[in-house]
Amino acid sequence: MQGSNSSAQTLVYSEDGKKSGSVGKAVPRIEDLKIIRGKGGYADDIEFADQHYAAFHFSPFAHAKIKNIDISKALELPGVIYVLTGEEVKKITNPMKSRAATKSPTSHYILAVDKVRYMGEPVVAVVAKTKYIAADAIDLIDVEYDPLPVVATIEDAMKKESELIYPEIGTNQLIEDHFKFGDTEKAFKEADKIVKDRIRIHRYASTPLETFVTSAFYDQTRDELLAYASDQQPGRTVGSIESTIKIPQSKIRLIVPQVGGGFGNKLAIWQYVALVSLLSKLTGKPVKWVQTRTESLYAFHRPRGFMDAEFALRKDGKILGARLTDWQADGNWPYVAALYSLIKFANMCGVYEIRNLDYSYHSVATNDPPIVQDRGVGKPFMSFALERMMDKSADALGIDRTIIREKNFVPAEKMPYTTFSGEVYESGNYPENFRRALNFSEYHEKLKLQEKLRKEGRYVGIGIACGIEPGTSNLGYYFLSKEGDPDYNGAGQMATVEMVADGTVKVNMNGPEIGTGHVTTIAQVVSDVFGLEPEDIIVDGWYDSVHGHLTYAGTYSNAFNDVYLGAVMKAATLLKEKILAIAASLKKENVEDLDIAEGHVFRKSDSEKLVGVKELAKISYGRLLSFPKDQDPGLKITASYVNKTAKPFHRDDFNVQLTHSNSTHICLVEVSPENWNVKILDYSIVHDAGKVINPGIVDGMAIGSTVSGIGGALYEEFLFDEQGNNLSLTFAEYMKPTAMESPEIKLDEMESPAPNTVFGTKAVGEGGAITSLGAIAGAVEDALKPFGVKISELPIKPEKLWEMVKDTDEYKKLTGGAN
Amino acid sequence: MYPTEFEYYRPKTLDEALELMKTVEEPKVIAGGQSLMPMLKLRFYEPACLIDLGAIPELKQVKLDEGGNLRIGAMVTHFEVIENGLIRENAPILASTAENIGDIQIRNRGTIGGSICEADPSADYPPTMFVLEASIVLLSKEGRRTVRIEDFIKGPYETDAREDEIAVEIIVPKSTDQYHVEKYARRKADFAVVSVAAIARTASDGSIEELRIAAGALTDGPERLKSLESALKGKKKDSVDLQTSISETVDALTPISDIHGGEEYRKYSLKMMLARVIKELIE
Repeated sequence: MQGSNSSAQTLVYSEDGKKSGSVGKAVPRIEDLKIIRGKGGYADDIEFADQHYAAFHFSPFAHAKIKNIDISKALELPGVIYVLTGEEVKKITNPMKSRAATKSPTSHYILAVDKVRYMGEPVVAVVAKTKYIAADAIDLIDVEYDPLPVVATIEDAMKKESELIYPEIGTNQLIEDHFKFGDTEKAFKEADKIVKDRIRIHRYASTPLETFVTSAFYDQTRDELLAYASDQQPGRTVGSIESTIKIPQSKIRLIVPQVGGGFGNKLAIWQYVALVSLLSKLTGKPVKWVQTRTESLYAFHRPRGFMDAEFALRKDGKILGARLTDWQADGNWPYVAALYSLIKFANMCGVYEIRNLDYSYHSVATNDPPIVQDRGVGKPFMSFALERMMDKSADALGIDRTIIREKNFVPAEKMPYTTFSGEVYESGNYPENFRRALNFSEYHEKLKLQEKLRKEGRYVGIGIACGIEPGTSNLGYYFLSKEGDPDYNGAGQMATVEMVADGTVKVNMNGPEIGTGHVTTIAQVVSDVFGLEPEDIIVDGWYDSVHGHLTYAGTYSNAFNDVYLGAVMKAATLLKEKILAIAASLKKENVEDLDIAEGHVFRKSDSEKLVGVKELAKISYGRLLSFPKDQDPGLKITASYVNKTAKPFHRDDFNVQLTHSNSTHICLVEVSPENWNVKILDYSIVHDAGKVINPGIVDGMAIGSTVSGIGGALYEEFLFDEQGNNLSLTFAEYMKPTAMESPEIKLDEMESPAPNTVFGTKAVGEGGAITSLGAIAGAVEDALKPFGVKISELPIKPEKLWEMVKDTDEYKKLTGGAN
Repeated sequence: MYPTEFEYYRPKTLDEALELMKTVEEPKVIAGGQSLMPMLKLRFYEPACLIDLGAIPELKQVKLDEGGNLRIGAMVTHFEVIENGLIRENAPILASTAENIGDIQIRNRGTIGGSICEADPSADYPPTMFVLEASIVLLSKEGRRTVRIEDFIKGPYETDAREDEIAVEIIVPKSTDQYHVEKYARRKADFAVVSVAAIARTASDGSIEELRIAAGALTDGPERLKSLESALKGKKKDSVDLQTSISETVDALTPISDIHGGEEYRKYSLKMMLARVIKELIE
């Protein structure tokens, strides 16, 4: 575990203490100046000459056969140049394939063929000269549907007589699996108490300000595709374009400009990048598609589902074992089936020691829209289920909710700690984090306040949640159900650092910049290597597939801090070594006596400046006759990096993610007896993300992700009627919390450095989304204790609470029986 | 999210606007556009011609007439309603109502005339206009008429305005009595789930001299709660059975039922809000 990773790790600057550097400082974000002035340069800001536009007819039915498509009127509309339907798609493309499921559907194409499986599935594509003509043409397309019975729920899908989403598979259960670790049977036999619950999760999703945007131009003179996309995982998209529309990877150039928010949502764009690329190839025109807000709400979401959880408890609160059965309605995009279940292994026991655990999962296809790896993927639900079970167990045993947590924390002295399944928690001090959170949030004062307010007739409650936030994906867990070596992994990336001919240092991390401060963070770490200020470094925020990337290049899974910084630091360090070697040769010095800072190479012993970098760059690129014979000219290094703690996949020992931040959330809420709306009065977090490079950026992500969790806990839900119609297609129905609903979140940081990343950094960006659900649910349950309310599902809507309380005695007392 | 094709006119005078209303095909007036623009983008409305009233200065004025009534131009923004000294002095309840509307961007662009003519049953202004007993002035080539707002709003999204008429002015009688205006929505910027506007005056002997109450977010549009008013008016404040009166009135109403709250839930919440608001006002 403690092993070193690469030469980069030992070369972190400032070891001599001479230069303090900018790592660890809240350097203001360099990229913001452009973004707030409207000069961010997003995918929609890029136009080709003779730009054409695509629009889609999306299925209005959740499940139906396509009987007939009449495109004649659309084709007659002036400005429309092409209309594509499933008939052609079936002839010229390959279907989309499953990753985890052993049996893959063979009938699901990038455009619907013969039948539709969800409301919002693309059925017909139009290419026209303007966006408006394209939209008008869609209104002229007449699709005749023959509705099929809708499979609305997991329970429906599992019935013997259920309509099948994919008849070729013969079942709606795309994949199921069972794991056993330790001796759970014995644990349950020895338990003093067994606590059970069915805990549910609903459909919600991140909704980035920038929707899916993709444009493509297929150059028929060179047989090459140039595509732009607001894509979070472009490395994978390149492969998916090849596998679906059959353009070889060697003929694809994919560029990702500034992305207006990712949150995992933009991992699903590849289907549309493939579609728009195909439209360009078929028409010979550059084609662009900008998804509308309503279209962005059709899909892609988190799945709804439930978990049957059972804890075997000793009477002092110790968890002896657990049984978990996870059911996820993974929509019907078989590509990611099982993902939400398998990734739960990354935080399945949370911050607690649970050695005996049985886990089963079922990934079920229904007529829900497709899912995507939304912020935290299955980990928010895992944490929610665990923390609900902790509270329920405490209540069942009659012990305090803080005591049961203290009883079960992984002890600090056991770090690094390997969980039952092989996940390695690389560092951290969970009991200390919890103690600090109790102090920081003034927990004991809050208990007194709660007692006082209850006497005044106010319903105030306190919630606690402790959570693990995993980062860096050892992605091949899809292969837990299959033989062989996974073709992809998220534990490595490739980046380029160069000193150009004028002496400026430029970095291209070659991954999407999704608004999470990569430019500034990279400028900070690289400026330290070269003894410069962050604003001296030019960081290219664009991804370009021709610059060199590993198969799953992208910004996802909280991995930037590990793998992109790893690759950038490796390239920067190698470049620095090369510059110093050239200088040593030129000046006849020993390379180990030299260092670089403020634009000069200097001798360390007496700070004598030997040569300026401008001069050195000029020599390295141009003056090849005087250039040292023992060196190669040019100052550009592309380096790849892999976090070597990623394990192979054996069913009894595997790790899903490689770094693990942790935090404790404590919140105080009040429920109004007038309308049962929940108001957050106070919210405190003690967060441990290991070493922090830029506290401003990290705090911002901790707060932002917590607000996204608050949205999931209280406000956001995609609602469907019994026919599978999505009822939440604008922001009037899909309720994102706004600044006005967001509480002030108080934050305190701990730093337990990760031994397996270059800087000791860990996952950042999903923690709040993962851990907040349990804290809010616990607080609401506590506030409504006089009514005996139990919370096992989200979101906590006022009307639902009213339904839960209205037949209780406390309610009758409150309303005088008049309501 | 792309409107269908339409012709766009931006007249500089009222005369020009009235002429367009008569001559162009299927005219649709656009004021601040805060409701209409999303509707156009969703293609719920597909008007042939859009007439933008934004360039007519006289629609943006706030005046006090000889009778002491406020005359508020239809194109006065919500922001102006909040900030305007004349309004704050002569109808403070109206300024408070506008504070509840949407968010800053909406208040900067949305207008009082536009909102009333949209007649959204959950909008903020109507209950307040009902208790103020305000009127609206409609103008067309045929002439000018003044209609009480209670008669003007005929139902959800339905008004008394004819196709060739433009709402030009809202007439608001001066009111400086005690007032309370409140909406409950889960998010600050949303339309009301439950809303109440009320004004009250109590006499020195503790009797309720004047009381006007209206509620919004009801299926058939906003309503004056006349039965509740008459049950309480003239009574001494400690001799009324508030809970029974409120229950009887609210049970006869039909609140909107949608994903933001069902009918029974909204009734409960409206009762609770009314009880608190009235208690506060008469005490």
